[in-house]
Amino acid sequence: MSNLIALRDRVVSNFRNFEALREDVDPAWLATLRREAIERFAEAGFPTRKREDWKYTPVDPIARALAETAARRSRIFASRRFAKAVDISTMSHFLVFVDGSFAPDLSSPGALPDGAVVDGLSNVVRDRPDLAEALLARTRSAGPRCFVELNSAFQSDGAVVALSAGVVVSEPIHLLFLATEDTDGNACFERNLIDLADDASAVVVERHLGLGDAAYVTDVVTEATLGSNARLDHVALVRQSSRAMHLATASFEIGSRAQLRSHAISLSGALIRNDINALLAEEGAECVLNGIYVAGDGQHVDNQSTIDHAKPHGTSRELYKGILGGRSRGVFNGKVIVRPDAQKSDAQQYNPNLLLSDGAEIDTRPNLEIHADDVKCAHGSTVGCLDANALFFLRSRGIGERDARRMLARAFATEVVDMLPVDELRSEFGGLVGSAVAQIGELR
Amino acid sequence: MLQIKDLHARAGDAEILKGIDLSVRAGEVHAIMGPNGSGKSTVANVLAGRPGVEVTRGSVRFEGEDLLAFAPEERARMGIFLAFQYPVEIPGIANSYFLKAALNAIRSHRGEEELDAMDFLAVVREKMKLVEMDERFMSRSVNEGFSGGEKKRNEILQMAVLEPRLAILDETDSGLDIDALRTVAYGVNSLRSPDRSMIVITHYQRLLDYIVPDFVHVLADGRIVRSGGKELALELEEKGYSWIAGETEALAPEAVAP
Repeated sequence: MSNLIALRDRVVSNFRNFEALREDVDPAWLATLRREAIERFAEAGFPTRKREDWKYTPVDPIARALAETAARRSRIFASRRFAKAVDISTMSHFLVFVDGSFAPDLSSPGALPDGAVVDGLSNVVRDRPDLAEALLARTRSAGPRCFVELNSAFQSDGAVVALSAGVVVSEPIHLLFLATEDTDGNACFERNLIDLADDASAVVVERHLGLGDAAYVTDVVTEATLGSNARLDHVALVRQSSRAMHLATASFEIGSRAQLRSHAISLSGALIRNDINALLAEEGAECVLNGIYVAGDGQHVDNQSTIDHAKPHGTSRELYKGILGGRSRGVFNGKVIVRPDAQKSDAQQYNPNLLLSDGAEIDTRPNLEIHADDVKCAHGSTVGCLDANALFFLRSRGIGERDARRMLARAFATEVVDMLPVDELRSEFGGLVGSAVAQIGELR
Repeated sequence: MLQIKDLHARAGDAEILKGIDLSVRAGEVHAIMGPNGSGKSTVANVLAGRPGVEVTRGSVRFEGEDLLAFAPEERARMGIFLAFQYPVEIPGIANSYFLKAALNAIRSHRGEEELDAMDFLAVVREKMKLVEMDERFMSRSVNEGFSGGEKKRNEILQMAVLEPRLAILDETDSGLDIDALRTVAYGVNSLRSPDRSMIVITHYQRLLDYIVPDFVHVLADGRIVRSGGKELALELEEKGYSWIAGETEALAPEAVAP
């Protein structure tokens, strides 16, 4: 506990150095936002295990890594190394971020309709300060959200996707966050801001990729608002280095009859923590939260989600599937809140888990908090191992045991992969899930 | 092709097979009949290598090899095929993907080149005609949402594609209406050949009207209590299993003699 306080103080003092470095870059309003955020952080500090949402994930190693981070300005190498990690040839719109900073030379926003802004946050701060300020100032502190505050204080860059009313970008907008060897011992704070006005529609795909074996912390915050009838598919793929800690917070505010589909696919990293918050803010809002997490020996994946039905006639569907092997640990803590005003809400929440080894562990806590009386809600979770009958069936047809186990584990994830938008993503991500499963299978 | 000698097997604490002797030569079709609980399915499971069934005594030789020493997938590659009594549903694995993986595993064991998607499709299309299956079944998940008859036809399709040396059909007739039974039997019959043997396990004689066996064996309480030609099945149908059960005790000392 006192340890966490000391670490907090070091992070705050790091901020002073960081602030000095940013002096000639940040406009006054941004410097103020950063300072306010670090003050809120200093007040609340790091969360302890007494908090329900941090019961299963140790904060100490994260806090220590952040405290030891040296403040510095990112250097960007016009490197094309990432081309090996991801195929950009089929992407119409992509922004590349290297170690937390926007790399315009590597990016290609592509041809966009009028009324669409797709750019690095640092560029937007410089070129359209009003828009940047409006989007950044929107972050409200809903309870103590330590890693959101730290992100607000330290964010170095990120993506802005802002679409005016009725603007539709039909091809996916790809955001590639690359962590190179240069980021070893450091932290990346990325902030993505998505703003879809009424009737706007977009597919935004974040890929968080570790290109080497560096140890670093990523603290990424994505905030999105959806106006009436807007549609957003948000995909977040985590394939960080085996020594990385990845903390991601995604918050969505969903307008009237708007539709959010979120897909969180966590495949590698020493520690992955996903916080997803969906606020069904207006009548008839819809959200789908899909997730897959795959963890092998020594990995820890913690998924926290809150779906808040604030207004009537909202629909939410949450399906998170976990595949755990080796000595790994998974957490699912999902809350669905139905406010007194939110009559005729329809909520379903499921968390099935597949354990491939004796050493794997899952803590699953689906829960409903219902304050309205005319609602339809269901939730549940399961924990199981591979179906012995199915395994024997595949083997009896000549398929080797290891391949059969992989096929079955991969099949378990198919339901979620199939819900991804766009054929190319289903096939690419299906393949990635398959190889992640194959890797943890070796350590059985 | 197959020699089973003095086979004893147990599942959990229960001794189920209490000394089975059976020889199957190339091209022969043997029927194993018997009441529920007599051990029919256990014979099938021992041959295919289902985990959980433990052989406590005896031997099984298949084409000169000690079959029991091999894993289920190795047996499949050697040419053993079990058509399941209860075909397994596997959501998330497409029928075509699964069957291509199986065929290529077996082909590569035989030293044959693996088939690509196009060649595989050509093979499957041909075989699907045998069991009157529509091509759309190939893109669906293995047996998921299939009717009872569709599942059994899918088993026979797998058999047709994998071309085993010894096929064991475990109660393939169960849950089938007469039309589905005819289709399945037609598929099986068209796969009969001088170098392929079959063991047809069934409770009812009905199936044997369509798949006519060379030999019939009656299993009761873990032993073969009677063997004969196809007419034995008709006799059983007429007199019922109680006829055999009544004789079992008298036959028992003889049957367990080594």
